[in-house]
Amino acid sequence: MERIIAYDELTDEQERRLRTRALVRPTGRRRDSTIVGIYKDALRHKDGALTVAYQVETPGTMFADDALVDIRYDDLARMLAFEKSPGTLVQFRYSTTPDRGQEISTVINSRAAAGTHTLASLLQSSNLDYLRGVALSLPYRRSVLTMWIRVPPKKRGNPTMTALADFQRALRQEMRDRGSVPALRNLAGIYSRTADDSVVRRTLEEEQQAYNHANRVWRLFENSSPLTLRRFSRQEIWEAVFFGHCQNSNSAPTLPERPGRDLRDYLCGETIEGELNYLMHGEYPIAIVSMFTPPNEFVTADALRSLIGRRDFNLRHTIVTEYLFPEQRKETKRLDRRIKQVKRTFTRRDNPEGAAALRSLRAVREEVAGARESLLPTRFYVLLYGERARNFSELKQSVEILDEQCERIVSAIRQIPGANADREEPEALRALYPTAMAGELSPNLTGRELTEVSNSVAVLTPTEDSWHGAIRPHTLLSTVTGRLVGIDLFDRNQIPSPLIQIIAAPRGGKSILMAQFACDILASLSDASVNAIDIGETLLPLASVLGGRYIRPRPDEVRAINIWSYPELKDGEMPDDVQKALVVGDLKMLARVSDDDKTAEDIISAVVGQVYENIVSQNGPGRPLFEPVLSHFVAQLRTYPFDAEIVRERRETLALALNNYIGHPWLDAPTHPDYEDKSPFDVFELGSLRDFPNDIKLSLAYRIAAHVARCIGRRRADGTRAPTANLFDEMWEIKDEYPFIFKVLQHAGRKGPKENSITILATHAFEDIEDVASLSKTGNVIFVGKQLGDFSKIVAHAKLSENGATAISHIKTAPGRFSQFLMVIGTGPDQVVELVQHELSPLMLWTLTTNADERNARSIVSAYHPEWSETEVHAWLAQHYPRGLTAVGLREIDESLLAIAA
Amino acid sequence: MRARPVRRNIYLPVVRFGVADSDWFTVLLISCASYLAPVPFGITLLYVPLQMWTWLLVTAGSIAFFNYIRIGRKPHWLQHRVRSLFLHHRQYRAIPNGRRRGFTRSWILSSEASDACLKFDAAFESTSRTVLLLDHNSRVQEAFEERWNESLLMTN
Repeated sequence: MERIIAYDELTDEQERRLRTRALVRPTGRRRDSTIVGIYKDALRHKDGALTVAYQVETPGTMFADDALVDIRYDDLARMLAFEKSPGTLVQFRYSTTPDRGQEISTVINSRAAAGTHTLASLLQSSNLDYLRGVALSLPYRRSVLTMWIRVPPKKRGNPTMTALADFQRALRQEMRDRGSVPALRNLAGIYSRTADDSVVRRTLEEEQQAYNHANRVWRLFENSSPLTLRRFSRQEIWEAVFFGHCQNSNSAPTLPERPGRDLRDYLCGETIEGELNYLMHGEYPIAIVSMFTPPNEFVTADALRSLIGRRDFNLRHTIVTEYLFPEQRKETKRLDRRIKQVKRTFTRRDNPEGAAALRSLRAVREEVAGARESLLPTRFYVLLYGERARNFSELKQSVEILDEQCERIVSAIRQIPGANADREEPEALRALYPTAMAGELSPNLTGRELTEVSNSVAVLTPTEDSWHGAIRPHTLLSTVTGRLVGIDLFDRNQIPSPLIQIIAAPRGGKSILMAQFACDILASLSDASVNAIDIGETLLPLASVLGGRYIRPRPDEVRAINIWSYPELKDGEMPDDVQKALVVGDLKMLARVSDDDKTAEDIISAVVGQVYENIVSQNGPGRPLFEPVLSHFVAQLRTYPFDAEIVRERRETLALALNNYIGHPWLDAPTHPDYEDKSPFDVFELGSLRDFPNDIKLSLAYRIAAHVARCIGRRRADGTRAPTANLFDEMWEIKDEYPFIFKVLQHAGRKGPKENSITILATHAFEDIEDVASLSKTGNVIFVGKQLGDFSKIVAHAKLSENGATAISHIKTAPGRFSQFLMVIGTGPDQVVELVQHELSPLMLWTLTTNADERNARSIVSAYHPEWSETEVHAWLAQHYPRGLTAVGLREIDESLLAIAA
Repeated sequence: MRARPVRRNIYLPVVRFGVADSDWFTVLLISCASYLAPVPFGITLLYVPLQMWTWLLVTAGSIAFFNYIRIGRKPHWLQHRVRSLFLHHRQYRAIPNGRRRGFTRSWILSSEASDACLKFDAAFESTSRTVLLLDHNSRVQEAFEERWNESLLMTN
């Protein structure tokens, strides 16, 4: 027994020794890299070539005019066509990574440190948490485009000759230092130190010369690029290359400052292995899909949109396009040779394929003639990375997903007419992957080159992406291409106009989007206030949840709004022109004065000015507020010294008309103290005005709108202007019932930009607001939802391209899940057009829903549990019906659940 | 959008007997070699000189071989296949104390004394490492002392 134990120990010891030995001499071959160092901001390759990288700005032009995209690709083709040193290589890397909600953190970080609305913040948080959950189950995606340019060395070195010279020098040095015998004894050591490792070595001066030569080529690219480029700094390029080479790493090592330090020890820090159709780089499985056949006959500039715009391509992948620049003279000769060959082989036999090939060859030769175009061998492939796999079960799952993604990419490339792609076989993958890593550009031919003129192959570069969103967003929307974008309606850089229009058919989600903006503005901006004009109690639940004021004027509950009053009155300051215009507008409405009657308007304007002069002077700091009212105006009107007889006659008719309203509790009274209290969220319900006589109803609606418009430019204690949002829902009804409100909006729209305020209008069709010139002209932010019927006027107004118009007709709205909108920001060449999706958390959904069945459900739960607050009611419903009722095909809730809850 | 022409067939190989024009030279070389190699031996087989047999068989074989590696295969299939046969599928990471020589040689030659770069700069490495270590340790020490003082203040 003891002997057996002794043998076991011996075997263990032997195994341990073998394992220890294997640690220093592992199975396989040592990993190598072509990058040996970094000189200034360029990667230094073994053969002396230098590579720099650029971050490329990707414009969001998926819905822009086709001509704009074509022009960009023409410019790109010109950039690729100009003469370069043979062996230059340009690589575009369009890297996409899954986004598990990075923009959510941006929204949270953008929140003001103090002065935000607590309840709105809580409600917003529920939505952010929901989006985080969505991002975890189906990640969003973010893309970055980089361009890498490798310039070959001017002089090609011979590493073998250099190594021999090095050996000779080193031997001589050793003999000088230590004597001949020890030097000869150490011959093997000297050889191993100086053996040819195929690295070209140069002095610093030579390195500087090589850099200057390469820099001239890089500058040519920079100057002729149609895309905005930013060259990577030394640190950035090091990090990009390091993370590409070491997949498991979370941080990059400090870049050694010593010039000439070989960086391959750092870059080759992870094992790459695999015999199957994927390789394991560190703990990540990797596969490559290459394009083997280019598109057939023709290719358009939007060819790659099926690859870069897919929502389900959210696994980490990089689309790589490489352009090799051979010596054009040689390429032309090769082409000529080929023409001769084809002529010899095919045309004698009258072969149709031969004739077609000859036609193509002659066409290419013609284009290349006169150096108008360049022949570019182009490689196009997609690098796909699986999820990290630390054990066999994770690997199995990761590889399954990788296989699926590869198949999707292959089918997406095959959607380009005539193009064919396939996953690389294991042997090819092992040969190709080392040159596919970031920075490892190789001009050696791999058999994946598709040769065509620059104008044709340029479109194989992905150059566009979704809009990147605002820097300090308050609201999150997702693009249909799968990017989470933040919106900041107060960003004066991106949104110079203060007027935002939301135009969607009924059930298109416009009121809900508007309410979402209201909640998010209150949640994110310091001291923000929101004033809304509502019809049909859409915003009532939100106002209740946020503790806002829901003001419903009723005939039996008198709370006058005095149009004459304004915030600076108490300080004895004279009103501005806008305030006077608002009063004139109200008086004209009461006196039934048409817009053509200029005499009446002049009379009213003159008397209004006089009334203010008389009364404002009676106010001032420390004095009680004394507001002018309608009766003051009528009294002044009667006594105003007009000279002309005709004017005096008109004055009498005006006084007669206005006399009816003197002493009216709603129209001829100072503003009710309730309105003086500051509230961050006020909603005025115009629907209840139907109980008033028509003339009173119109005047009250006008005054409410004026009150809302006056909130623009509200100042904080330190004199700064607090952000204010004014919301007007159901503009189509306002246009029909209260057209005077448009005049108020005209004032608001023009003042907004200077006063840190925005106005959001929601309506069914653009025709509802097109009459008001200033509304349609100043509004440069439009959210177009689902449209019924003709929408050509929106297209014309927003100057949308054909793609934009097509996008409108493809907008989808899924009740309880999402609403889509075409977001248009700005005009001209920098116009942003993006198809965005508004998603709601269950709690937000039940708070904002305007669906009749869901509103009934809210009422039922409230009636069953009168002790519950609105938030509790919504939370209960959100818990039991997270997607609402309509989305799951229900009309009413299961009341037995309520009984259980009780 | 504007259609841009793509002439995919311009560089398709011109094929005869299934062999691309670029490979015919190799076929010719092989067949010549196979003809010439048996000549010195002067052997005949079935009354026919051996070189005729070898020439015929090897030429047919090489044509078949080039057909095999081209038809239904991806470009550079043979190169990748041969490469995978000779190179191990595992590329292990750089090991600091591995048996293979490390990447320690500088790629910059000193203009004054170019021999310097040929020597392994162990002193520099160890010095810089030591300096880094010392820096790190003093940073840790400082951070710890700050924390210690803070806790003292708080307990007081």
